[in-house]
Amino acid sequence: MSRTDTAAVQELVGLFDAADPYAFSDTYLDPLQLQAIDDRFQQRRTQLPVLAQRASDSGVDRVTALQDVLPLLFPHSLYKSYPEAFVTQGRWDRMNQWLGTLSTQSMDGIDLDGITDIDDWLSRLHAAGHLVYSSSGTSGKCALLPSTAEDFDFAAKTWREFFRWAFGTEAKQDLPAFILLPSRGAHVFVPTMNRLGQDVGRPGQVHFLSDLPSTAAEGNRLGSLRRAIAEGRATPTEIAALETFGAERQQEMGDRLIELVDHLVEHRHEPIFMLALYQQMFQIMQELRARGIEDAFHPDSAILTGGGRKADNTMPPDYREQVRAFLAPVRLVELYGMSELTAHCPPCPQDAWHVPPTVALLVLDKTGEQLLNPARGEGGVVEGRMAFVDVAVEGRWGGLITGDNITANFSACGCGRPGPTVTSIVRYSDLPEGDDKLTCAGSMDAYVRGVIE
Amino acid sequence: MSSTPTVLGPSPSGEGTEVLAVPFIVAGRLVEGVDVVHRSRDMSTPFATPKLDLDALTGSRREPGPAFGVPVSEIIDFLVATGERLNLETNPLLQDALDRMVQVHPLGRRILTRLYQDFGILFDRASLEFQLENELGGADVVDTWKVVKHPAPSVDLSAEGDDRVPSRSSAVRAFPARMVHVLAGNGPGCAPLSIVRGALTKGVHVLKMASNDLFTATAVLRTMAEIDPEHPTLRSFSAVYWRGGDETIESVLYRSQFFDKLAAWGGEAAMRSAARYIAPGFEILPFDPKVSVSFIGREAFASEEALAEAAGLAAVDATLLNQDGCVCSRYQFVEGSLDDADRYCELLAPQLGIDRPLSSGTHPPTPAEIRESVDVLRHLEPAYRVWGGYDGQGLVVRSEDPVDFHPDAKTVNVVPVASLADAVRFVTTATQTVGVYPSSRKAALRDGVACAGAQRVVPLGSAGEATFGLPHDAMFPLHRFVRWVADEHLGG
Repeated sequence: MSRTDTAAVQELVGLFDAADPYAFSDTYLDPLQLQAIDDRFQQRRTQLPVLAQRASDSGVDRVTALQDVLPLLFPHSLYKSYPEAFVTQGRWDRMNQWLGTLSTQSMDGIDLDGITDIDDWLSRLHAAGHLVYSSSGTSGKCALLPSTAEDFDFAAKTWREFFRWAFGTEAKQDLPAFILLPSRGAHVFVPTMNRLGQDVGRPGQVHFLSDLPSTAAEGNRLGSLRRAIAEGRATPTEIAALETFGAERQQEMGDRLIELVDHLVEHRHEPIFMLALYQQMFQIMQELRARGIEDAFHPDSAILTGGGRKADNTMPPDYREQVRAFLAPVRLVELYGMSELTAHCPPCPQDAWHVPPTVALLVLDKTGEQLLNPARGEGGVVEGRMAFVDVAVEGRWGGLITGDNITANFSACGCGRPGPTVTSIVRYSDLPEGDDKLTCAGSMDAYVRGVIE
Repeated sequence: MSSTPTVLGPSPSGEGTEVLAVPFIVAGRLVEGVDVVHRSRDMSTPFATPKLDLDALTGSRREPGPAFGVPVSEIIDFLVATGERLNLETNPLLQDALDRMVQVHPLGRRILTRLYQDFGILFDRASLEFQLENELGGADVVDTWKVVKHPAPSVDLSAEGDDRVPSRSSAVRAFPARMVHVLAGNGPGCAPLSIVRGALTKGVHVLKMASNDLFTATAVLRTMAEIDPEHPTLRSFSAVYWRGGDETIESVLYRSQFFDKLAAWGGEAAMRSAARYIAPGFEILPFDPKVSVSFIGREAFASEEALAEAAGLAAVDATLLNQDGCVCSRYQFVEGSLDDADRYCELLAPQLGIDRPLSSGTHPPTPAEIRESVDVLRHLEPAYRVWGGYDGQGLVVRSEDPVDFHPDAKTVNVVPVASLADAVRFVTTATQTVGVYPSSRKAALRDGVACAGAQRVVPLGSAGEATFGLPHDAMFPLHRFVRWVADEHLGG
């Protein structure tokens, strides 16, 4: 396959060749993005039955204003809408049928003989050029994101940009690199992180969190067990096994972090590149402190981080501040992004996340029905549900409604770049929600304790 | 008393919405005030309540509750008199409550009116007497220390030598308890039902109203006050509101020194929140959040008429309170082939869009989570088939296994099974009612479904019927509303 860009898409994707892809004005980008959204919509509606259905249900035939795309946005949960029974019963033909409703590629000619589990199925898809990767959700069921090789090429390019954002120079394959994610497996970050390691790391000195594959089956394990418990099929031994499995995994990761700290200490006198979550950096900090080391990072090092905004009750409430204080003056660049995006939002010195030119940002009301973006050129700050159309993505439709509550600034940023920027993020699921609307109607989930809270 | 909602001016959001005044009853006395502003869950309606006086809600254990010594016959007379006044046509308190309910409850005026018209039945003398008889074995154990003769010797392990004590008599009393009730609001019957049960057992009761029913409990209690404002039964009740889960209130009140029991009606969050306070001396009476199902036997396929009848009855069970209730059928297991199930679905789908006494033909619209799942399932024929849309007229999804999402808002998941016995594997500890067609198949299924966790087996179409005095959520409620106390070895 090759890219299927129209002129407008090509122009936007090409902006990542510019010195600063994030510096283009909204007066230039807005009409171009709108054209690109419509181009993508016209392409994808012929490929994706679910999008075609939405178009006909809503009567949207062309996107001529941002408002038009609202009924066409997919909920992020759509990518995990496959019936669990297809997986547990090994109905890979039906999983293909499901994927076919969301993927831009044809599902023909995939060998389904002798598939043993979901990871096996994903490998068969990969062998046929369908780069479907999983993204672990918090619900115990993996999202499955169809992508193409071109999507990962483009993603690799954007990550080189984030490297420039952090170091101010080009990646030259000359730094010891610490990437605290698995190097193998079904997760959507795996191919991107391998490319990043190659682009940034000194050969032989690229360290991943683990070389054991992260599997989709593992991601689905909680969900299947929850179902088995609800239906009264799970035995106490199986429940106990899952409870210890989680603890063992955590222990393994902790052990591996300690090994990585050994390597970090070896390289303390030269700049390094690291990509890690705050929680992982906190653990590294504790390990270094236990060894009496306060200056493990060369001041010209840089760290990319992101995600994990949810407070973890095993961490002190100020763990992020502690990490920052410990690492200073090392540059810490916290990206805002998600697996469904091909390009993420890097932060400027004003602590605002800049939206990539290939992504049209939409701020919606909580229900996702109203567009809150200010009128073009008016600027202003709005708060609501984050949605976007990523026009770069090739493997699927790029329109998505997320579970994030954001504050977005559509005026020019203090850093000198134009808007829009994202200035704060909370997940809707983390917002306090009482339940005072009492009803005796229940769901089976209420009867399963402790598996997923 | 005003019959229109009190207008306090613009809501805090400044949108000019009226703020509803929600009065309390505290120990039988009306308390009015607009000190605290809340917002209702369902309709986001702002409302204001008096400040809560926690001391007034809890009596001292050294003092008996107001009704502890009142003969149950007097209480029944008082309840019957109350029932006679609970006539929506003539009772301005009920009319006023209904007007206000419409602003916080999603069921709408027509269905709420129907439910409000039915309160009187709960106060029927024969029903009250049957409850005492069937749940407690009669009124005497509530009124007096009932003497029971031990047919067998007792054992006294502290005795020297022979530890067998010859048979003697003791006395047992269903002693009134002190209870907090976290009421559900999906059906307004929850409040009068709790008042009836609480009155029959004579205890001290705090009713914590739900934000989707802020008016029914107080309307019933105020009706009692019009008969006799000093009646000990009335003085035993408070009906108040705080935001469910508010630790500053619940952590203080939920203690054995104040209350023996917490009756928790549904709501997973409410249940989990309440469970944190369970401790020795303070127990929970769980009116659990539940899921109900239907079993459609192959007899439904004997004729077109039978199939239409089964689909119609199943639609009644599925749409009660617009499917917002524990008794509402959500999963329906059909004894037949995939094609049989599809024929059944074809007839079921339009039945969900009919206005019925307790359901709306065109409401509520399908929630986004279900829409999202079903949008995809529509493209997965033949494994899945979908009938209906998202406009509130009902949605039917046929699948080979139960769907991953929770069918709600008039959504039914139909699953074909080889035999009804085979469908028993889908009954779980979350299952409340199993509606069976034809009714003659019930007896052969009841052991199996009870074993798997179900609580109630009914003829299809009868899920919404309530006979008080029968088990409710796998317990006899009156039995759990009291503290069983023994006075042993009478005359010894």
